[in-house]
Amino acid sequence: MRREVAESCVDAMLMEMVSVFCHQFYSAEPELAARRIEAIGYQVGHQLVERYTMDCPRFTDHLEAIKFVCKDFWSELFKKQIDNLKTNHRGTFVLQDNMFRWITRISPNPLQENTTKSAGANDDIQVAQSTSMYLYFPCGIIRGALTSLGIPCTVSADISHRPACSFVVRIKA
Amino acid sequence: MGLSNLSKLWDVKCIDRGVFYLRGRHSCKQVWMKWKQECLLEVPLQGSSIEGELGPKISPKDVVNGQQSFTDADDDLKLHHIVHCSLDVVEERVNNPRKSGTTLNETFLGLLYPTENYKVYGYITNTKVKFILVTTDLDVRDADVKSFLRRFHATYVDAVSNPFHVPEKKIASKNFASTVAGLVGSRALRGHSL
Repeated sequence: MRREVAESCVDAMLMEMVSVFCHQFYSAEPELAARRIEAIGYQVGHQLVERYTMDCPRFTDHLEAIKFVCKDFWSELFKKQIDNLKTNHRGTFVLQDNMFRWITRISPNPLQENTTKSAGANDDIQVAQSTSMYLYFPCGIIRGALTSLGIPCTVSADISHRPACSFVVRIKA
Repeated sequence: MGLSNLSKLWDVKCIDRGVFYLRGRHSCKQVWMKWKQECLLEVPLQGSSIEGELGPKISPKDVVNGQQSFTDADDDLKLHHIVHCSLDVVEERVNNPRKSGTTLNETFLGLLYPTENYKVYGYITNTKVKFILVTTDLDVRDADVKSFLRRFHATYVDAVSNPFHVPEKKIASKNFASTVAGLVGSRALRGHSL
């Protein structure tokens, strides 16, 4: 039996989670908020991967596991596959999603009405910062998934070309 | 070290190869810790025992697992020993897939080794959780064991998907315990009818 979750609920939950951690619990320490959100994502990824790999054959190497995350795992989460996978063959993988669902509906410039146009460059930095809070959760999911597949790694996200989003996976030696 | 000695103590004893055995004086719960931050969960029922072992760990926390046991202490220790030895066989199979031939890339590892009184089967998930089945039924068929372990895996997945389950800790779900008991029971029944 497959149970589905309305996408808007997930969006609302993600927004609420970020706002609670950033503005209530850890308003003074954004660094700590980010780590908490990442940790939640980690547990989600850790548990999801257990279910989704149930009928897969065993993975023999890192690339197979990463491919699984790009294809099956991503399809389960976002109903699409990762669009582009790049690697330097030395433990760094870049997973690029050209239309990352969780950031498509974030307003590109929520501060525009309040501030004058002159602060444009400053705004961009602020927007990038506030959007990046929403990316710790998916980063955590990827890290959780890969770690439980036996690949300890760090994951960071890059959104310089919105709504495309690249996740950089660095495997720990 | 004698068993009688062990049962008197609430203590950590090193059995061998980095495996520690902890036993409470007043409870039948047994606690296992392994060096390599691995954990064991165990539901031995009427001579058959299933153990799961979680693979590479992230947090070197103490991993503690209680268990239900319907066998006497002597049997327990023997089963633990068998399971621990079989983990080496599992590792060998996973690292040298050529030797195991047909089981290449399968989650079901097949018969690990037969002992005088037991048959030991292995199963490893993609997340490096190992299930070891020790059975006294020497006529059991591989296909039956495979389907049994598959169903056990499904049960395990259901249990660990609970958001209140803390990864790498004991599975505290009653539902899990009863489903596993049911699985073990049904398998034993089928064994008798065959």
